[in-house]
Amino acid sequence: MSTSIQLDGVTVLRQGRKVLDDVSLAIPASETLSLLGSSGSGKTTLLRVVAGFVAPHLGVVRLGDALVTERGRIVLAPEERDVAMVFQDLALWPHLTVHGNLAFGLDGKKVPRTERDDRIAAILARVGLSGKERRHPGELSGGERQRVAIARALVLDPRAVLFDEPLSNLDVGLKQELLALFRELLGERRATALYVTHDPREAQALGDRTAVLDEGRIVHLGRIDDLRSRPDLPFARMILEALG
Amino acid sequence: MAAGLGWALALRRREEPFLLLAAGVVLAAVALVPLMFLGGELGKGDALRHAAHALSAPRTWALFVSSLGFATAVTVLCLAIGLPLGLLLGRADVPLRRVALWLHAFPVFVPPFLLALGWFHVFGRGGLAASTLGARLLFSWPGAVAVLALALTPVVTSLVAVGLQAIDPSLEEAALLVAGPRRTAAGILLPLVRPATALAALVVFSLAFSELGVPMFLRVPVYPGMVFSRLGGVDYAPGEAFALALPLFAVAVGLLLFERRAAGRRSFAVLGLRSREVPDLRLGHWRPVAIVFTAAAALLPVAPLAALVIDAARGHGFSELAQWIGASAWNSLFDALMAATLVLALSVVIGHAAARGRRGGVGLDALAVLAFVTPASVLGVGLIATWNRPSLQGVYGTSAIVALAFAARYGAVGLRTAAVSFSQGSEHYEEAAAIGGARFLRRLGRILVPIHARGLLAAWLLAVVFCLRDLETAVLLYPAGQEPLTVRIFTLEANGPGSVVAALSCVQVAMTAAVLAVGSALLFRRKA
Repeated sequence: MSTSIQLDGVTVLRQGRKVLDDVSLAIPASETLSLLGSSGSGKTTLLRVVAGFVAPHLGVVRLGDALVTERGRIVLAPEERDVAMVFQDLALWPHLTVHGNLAFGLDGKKVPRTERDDRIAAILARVGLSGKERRHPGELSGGERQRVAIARALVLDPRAVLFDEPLSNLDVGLKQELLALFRELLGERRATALYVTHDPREAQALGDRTAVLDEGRIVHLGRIDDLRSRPDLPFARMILEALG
Repeated sequence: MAAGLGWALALRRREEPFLLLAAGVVLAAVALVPLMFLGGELGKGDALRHAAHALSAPRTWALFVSSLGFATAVTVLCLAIGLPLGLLLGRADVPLRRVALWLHAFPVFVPPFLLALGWFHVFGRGGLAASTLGARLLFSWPGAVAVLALALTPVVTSLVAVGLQAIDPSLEEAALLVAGPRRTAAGILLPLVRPATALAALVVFSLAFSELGVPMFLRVPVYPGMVFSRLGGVDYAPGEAFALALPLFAVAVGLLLFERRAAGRRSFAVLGLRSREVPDLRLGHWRPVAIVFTAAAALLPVAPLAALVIDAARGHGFSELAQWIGASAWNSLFDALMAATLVLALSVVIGHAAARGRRGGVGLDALAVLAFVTPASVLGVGLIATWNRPSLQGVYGTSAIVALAFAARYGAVGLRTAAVSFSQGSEHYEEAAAIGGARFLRRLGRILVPIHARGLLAAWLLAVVFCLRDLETAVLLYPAGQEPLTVRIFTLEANGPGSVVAALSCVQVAMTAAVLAVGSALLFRRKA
C-alpha cells in the first residue's frame, strides 16, 4: 500500500520550546489516522505542518512521492499540495454562498463550469444540502455549516483531508450524526485523512489507527484498544477512563 | 523565451512577496527616498556652511525647544480631557453617547487653523463675544495650545473609546464581580487600553509638532514655521531649510522608536470591536457631572464652526464665494481621492503583511509610521529635493506631487486601519482558500478584500479626510494655479475679505462633512 502522508523527524520550535519533537509518522493511502492529544500537545501544529502553513525547523514531509517540506523550507506552498482541510471554526467564507464556497477551489483548478456544477450538486446531495446552494453560511444551522465544510473539502477530490477538531463545539447527538457522515464519506472516496481531536471517543469512532501526542512527541501509534495493555501510562488511563 | 517563462512561473509561485516588494518600492519612493535626498542635499556646495550657520544660531534651538514644549502641552491637555471622555463615551451610562462622540470627533477632520479662525470670530476683534482679554488670550501661546488641543482631543477620545470596546468582555466582567465600576475602570480598563492611549498620544504629538496653520494664524512662532519661511517667504534660503529640517527628523525617529515600544503591532489588537455587549459602567452620583462634561465636549466644537457660518452670512461671504473659490475645492477633492486610492492599494498589501507578521511587512509599517510622524515640512523639503528637477516636471509640476506627498504622509492612517481589519479576521479564511488551490492574488481579490471590504473602505475614507484637512504638506508642494482649498483659505486669511474667508471655510467643512456622510452611509449600510 502506498504512503500518502509521511513525516520524518519533524521538529518545530516556538520561542525555544519544542512544540513538535522529532515526530515521524506514515499514513498509508485510504487510511484515516486520528491524532489524539490534550490542549498544547502540538496536534494542530502537526496538522499545519502537513498543510504547509508551518515550516518545521528539522525534518521532512512528503505527500505521496512529492517532498513538500524540508528542514525550515516550504517546498510546495499550501495551494500546490492538493490537500483539503476542515478547520475548527470551519472558516466558511461569509461573503460567498454555499455554491460559491464549493466553487472557489474548483474554479482555481479550471474545472469546466458544467462539471463543476455537477460535482457541487452531487456532493451537496450527499451531505443532505440540496436546495441550499444560494444560502450564505450565516443563514445555515450549525450542523449545516459543518456539512458545507466537509463538502468543500471533499468536492476537490484531494490527496488527503485534514480535520482540525471540527466537531469540538457540538452537542453529542449532532456529533454522532456528523461522525457517521464523515466515516461514510471518507470510506466511499477511499480518502486519506488525518483527524485531530482531544476526544478519545471521536478518535476511536473515526480512526483506523490512533496516534497519541503528548508534549510534542508521539507516545502511542496503533489501535486505541491497545492502550488497555499499557495501564502504567498516565495518559492511557485517562483515555481509557474517557472511553468508559 | 525559457528564461521569461521561468521568471513568470517564479512570479506566480511567489505572488505575495513580489507584491509586497512592489508596494514597498512605491512606499520607499514616496517616503524614504525624499528623506535620503534631504541628507544628500547637505553634501552639496555651501550646504554644510548653511547648515552650520542655521544650526549654530541660539534662536534656532530656542524655537526648537519651545516647539517641543508646545506639542507636549497640546498632548498633555488632549490626554487629560480625552482619557476620561473616552471612558465616558466608550463605556459609561451617559445618554446619547454615539451622537456626542460624533459631534466631539468631527473637528479632527477639519484643518485646525479653521477652528482657530472660528475662535477668532468668537473672541477676536468684531467677534460674537469679543473682548480685549479674550483676544489677547487667543493670540498667545496658551491660546494656541488650547485651540489645537480642542481640535486634536478627539484623536485620544476616539482611540480610547474604540479600544475600550475591543476589550474582551469577560475581563471586565471578572473585575466587576470583585470591584465597583470605578475600580474596574481605573484598575482594569484604562491599563488594558494603554497601547491605544500611547498611539493616540503619538498621533497628537506628531500632528501638533507639525502644525503650521494654528501657530502662524495666532502669531505664535514655531520651528516648522521657520522651515516653511525658508522655502517660500521673505527669508527664502532652501539650503538652510534642509539643515533646519534635520532636528525635526531626529524627533520623528524618536517618535517612531516610542511607537514601536509602546504600541506597535499591539495596537492592531486593541482597535477592534467586541463580540458581545456588556452592560454600561454605572456612574452613580457622578452621572450628572459626567453628562455636563460630555455635553460640553460635544457642543464646544460647534461654537467656532457656527461663528464662521454667522460671519460668512452677515458679510455676504456666501454670495461672493463663486468669485474666490475657483477650482480649489475640486483640487482638494481630486488630490485627496487620488492619494487615498494609492494609500488603499498600498494598505491592502502592506497592511495584510503587517497584520500577519510577514517578513518585510513590519518594516514597511514602520516606514509608513516614520513618514507620518515626520513633520510635514521635513517630508515636503525632502520631496522638493527629490522631485524638483527638469526631467520630473511631469510629476512635480502637476497635482501628482501633492497626491504622492499625501500618500507618503497619510499612508500610515490607511495602512493601520487595514491592518486592524485584517488582524481581526480569522486567518483560517485565507488558509482555507490557499489549501483550496488559490494563489495570493486570487485570495486577495476573492476572499480577503470582500471579507474586509468595510475595513478597507474605512481605511480609504480616513485617508481621504486626512488629505482633505491637510495644509502643511500641500502648502509646500502645490503646483501653480492648482492650490487646494486649505491653501486658498490660508493665503486669503492674511489680506482677503473676512466674510469670504469664513464662507470658504464653511465650504471646506461642508465638503468634509459630505465625504464623511457618504462614507459612513456606505460603511454602516445593512446588507440586503
